[in-house]
Amino acid sequence: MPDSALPFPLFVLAPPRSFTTLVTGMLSQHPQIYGGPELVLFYRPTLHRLWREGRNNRIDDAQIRHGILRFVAEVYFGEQSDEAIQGAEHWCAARQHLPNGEVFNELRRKVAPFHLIEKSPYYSINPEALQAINTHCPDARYLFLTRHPVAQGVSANTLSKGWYTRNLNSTDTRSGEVVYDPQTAWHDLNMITLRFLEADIPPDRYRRVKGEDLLANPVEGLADICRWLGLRDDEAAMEGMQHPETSPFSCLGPISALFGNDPNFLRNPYFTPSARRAVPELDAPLPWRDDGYGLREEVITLAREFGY
Amino acid sequence: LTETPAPKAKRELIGQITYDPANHAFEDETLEHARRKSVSVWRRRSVRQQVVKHLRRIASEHGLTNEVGQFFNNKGYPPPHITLASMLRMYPRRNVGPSMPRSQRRKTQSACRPR
Repeated sequence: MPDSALPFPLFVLAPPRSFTTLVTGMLSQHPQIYGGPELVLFYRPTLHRLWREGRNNRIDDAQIRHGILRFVAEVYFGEQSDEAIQGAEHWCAARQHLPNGEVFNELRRKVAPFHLIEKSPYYSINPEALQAINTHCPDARYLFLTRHPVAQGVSANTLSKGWYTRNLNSTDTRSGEVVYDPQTAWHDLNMITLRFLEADIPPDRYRRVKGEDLLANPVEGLADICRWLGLRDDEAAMEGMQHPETSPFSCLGPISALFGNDPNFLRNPYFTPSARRAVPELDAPLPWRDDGYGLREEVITLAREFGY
Repeated sequence: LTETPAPKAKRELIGQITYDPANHAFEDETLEHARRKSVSVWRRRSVRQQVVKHLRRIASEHGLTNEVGQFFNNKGYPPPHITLASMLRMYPRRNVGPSMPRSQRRKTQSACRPR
């Protein structure tokens, strides 16, 4: 099947801690969609470089490969065992010098007639990754998830014991000191995504959705997304999407590829409907700063544009 | 009639977001000095929190949870005037575990550990 005849893929773009894991887990349970783990294929040009350089030029960054290994093991070998992961490593080694876009399209062919869904927050960091997606998948659809900057910052600060901001170099120098502050990453990652979508993607192929709205009213929100994608929006499809725990990727993997997604989700992959929480004020002092500073003007402007 | 298109919002970045540690440095020397200082302070603090967590675990094994716990406030680290040396002076070795060779100690502890 030529690439142009394949069902279009769906990419979920957002900064980390913006409900991407849960929303992708829910969408992947749609009867016409397949996926789940973070493949991270477009973050590096080839699998060889993904293996060699990882996320931050460190060869020991093994977790970044767990998603693709688990996916290949499940799709090609029918299970996620250590033996299947070994087979997946061989599968990847045989394609190590191919452009990752070709590898991704090979996976699309394998899961056709399902639409392949992929999300990796790393893509929002790297404009070249976004361009590579558009080059290799010119028919792709993009779901751009947003989250309130303060809520995202609070959540991000709990990630990796606060190393999120340090790994990403998310700094704020307004006070004359260098303060590691997640709001800079929130702004720039959203901005990189917006730049890409507005400049290179026709408006009918992307949609921006507030994560809080989607999770507060999942039936309506998911049905709306399905209608936009031209997929089934019947009751059975909606019911299935509210059970992300039924995916074969919604659990910890075998010891040789444990993760491939947010570990918190893998331990507790259930969607629990809950009432909408109060939205934090945009002009209040930030809970993670003890110098009384609040959100920057640019961050407030972008948050207002997103409807917060 | 021709409509004037609405001006597009400026999409400018405000930081230098990257995963590559080689690109984390500021060009301004003062800011770069402050950045390095901030990172080292954070590292020291996170290591100290790990040590305290480990110490609490050991203390609970020896029934000293209350004695050790009183030195740690809610933030998880002791007030500045409490140092490791002062704690060791206050709680000499005999109070925190048997003094014996490492190999025997491990054997004894694993034998005593509740199954």
